[in-house]
Amino acid sequence: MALACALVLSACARSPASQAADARASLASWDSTLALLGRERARGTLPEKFIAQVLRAAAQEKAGAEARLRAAEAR
Amino acid sequence: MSKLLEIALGVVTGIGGFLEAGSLATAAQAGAAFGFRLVWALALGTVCLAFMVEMAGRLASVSHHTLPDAMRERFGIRFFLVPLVTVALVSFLVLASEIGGVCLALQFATGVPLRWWVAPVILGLWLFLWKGTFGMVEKGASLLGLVTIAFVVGALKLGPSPAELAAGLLPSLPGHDPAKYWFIAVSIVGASVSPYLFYFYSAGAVEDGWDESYLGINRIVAGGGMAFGGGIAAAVLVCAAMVLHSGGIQVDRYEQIPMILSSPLGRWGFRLFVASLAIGCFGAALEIALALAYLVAQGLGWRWGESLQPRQAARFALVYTLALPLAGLVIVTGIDPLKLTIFSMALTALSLPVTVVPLLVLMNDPQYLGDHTNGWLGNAAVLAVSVVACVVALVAIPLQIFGG
Repeated sequence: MALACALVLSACARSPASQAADARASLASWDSTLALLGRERARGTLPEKFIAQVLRAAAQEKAGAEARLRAAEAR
Repeated sequence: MSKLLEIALGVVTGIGGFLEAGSLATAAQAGAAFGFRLVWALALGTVCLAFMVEMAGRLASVSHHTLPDAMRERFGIRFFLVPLVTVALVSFLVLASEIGGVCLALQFATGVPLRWWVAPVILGLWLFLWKGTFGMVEKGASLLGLVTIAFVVGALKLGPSPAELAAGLLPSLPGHDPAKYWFIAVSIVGASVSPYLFYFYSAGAVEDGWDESYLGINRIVAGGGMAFGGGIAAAVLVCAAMVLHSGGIQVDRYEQIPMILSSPLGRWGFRLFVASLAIGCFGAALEIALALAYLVAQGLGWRWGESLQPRQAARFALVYTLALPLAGLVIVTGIDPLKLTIFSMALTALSLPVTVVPLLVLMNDPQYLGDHTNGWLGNAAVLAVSVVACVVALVAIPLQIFGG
């Protein structure tokens, strides 16, 4: 059982390059989210209260992804 | 009520009650990350659910036993404690994610942070259960849940390629993120085959006084209701694939999901999304809280029944009275509702054999089912899906947690 756990956990360990790629993908995804949000805002399909929530979420997630990217690149 | 009307109502409530936080979040994540590639997981989960719901209804109709009641009687209380604790823990997490879904819908609509909505939502749920009857919970919330048909309208308006959609019905390996692919696949199966659904269904069949004359109705309601309900979850996946996947957006937060409906349906799309999330999650939270109370009360031999006054089934009412605020506390801690939802669904998949194997043993026991025991197809389909989902979850969950 312990051996199985050790094998699973070692398989889960990820390289810094892979972590950096994930962080970059997350940043790109949020940039695309903001672009879509901009288009929806221009069409007037979303209320301003909700747009503010998406902008806040995007700022939080992008800050987290940038921190992960810096940490991965520093290793 | 005529049998035809009962069938229609049963199928309609199956459709309206299908979509909730789990199926919405997993389908949206699947569509955004992998386009139509995970349609097969949705189809597999829906077929498995239809089989299991039909079995739970057949057991109730023929033996007049609910599932926990029959399990305790057949296997003894010591064995029964294993599924009891497992299902109770998983259902508790799913309940918390549904409460989070209602609060998020209210946050989206008003801008007021979700933690401020937890207490009013729990109070609303509790009042509904305390004052309402089984029919109100089962039919009322599910009929309102028909608003989720908006996703089908959205998907039709987006016009997916039928050939690409059909290709998604065949399992295929992803070109990227295999760990995420399998994790979402098992989460979809977990969201579809949540044990609370068939515990709730079997208790409902006993509450409604089903007998062997209901076997046909049971089969149509289980098959039709779940198939059409699965179609709505598929529509969510299609909308997410067409709007988010094509734009290079992966779903990390619930805030990204409403745009899958505002994009095809405009201003009404956002409103319908918020209504769908609120009603779907509210209805599911009612059903899960009740299913928890049924599970504990029936398993421990207490008096139970949503149509009884709370004072007539005090311990039964106490279970949902305690479960609701405790689940609300999970949301108040600030845990990410999307992560909670997805992990709850994956854990549900992991726990499937614990609930499915005793069900299958019961369904093959002529002492309970007489001439209506399972055929090989039902046994094989449910056992295969449950075991495969559990094994994949066993590998995918640690990969997702420790692999980031």
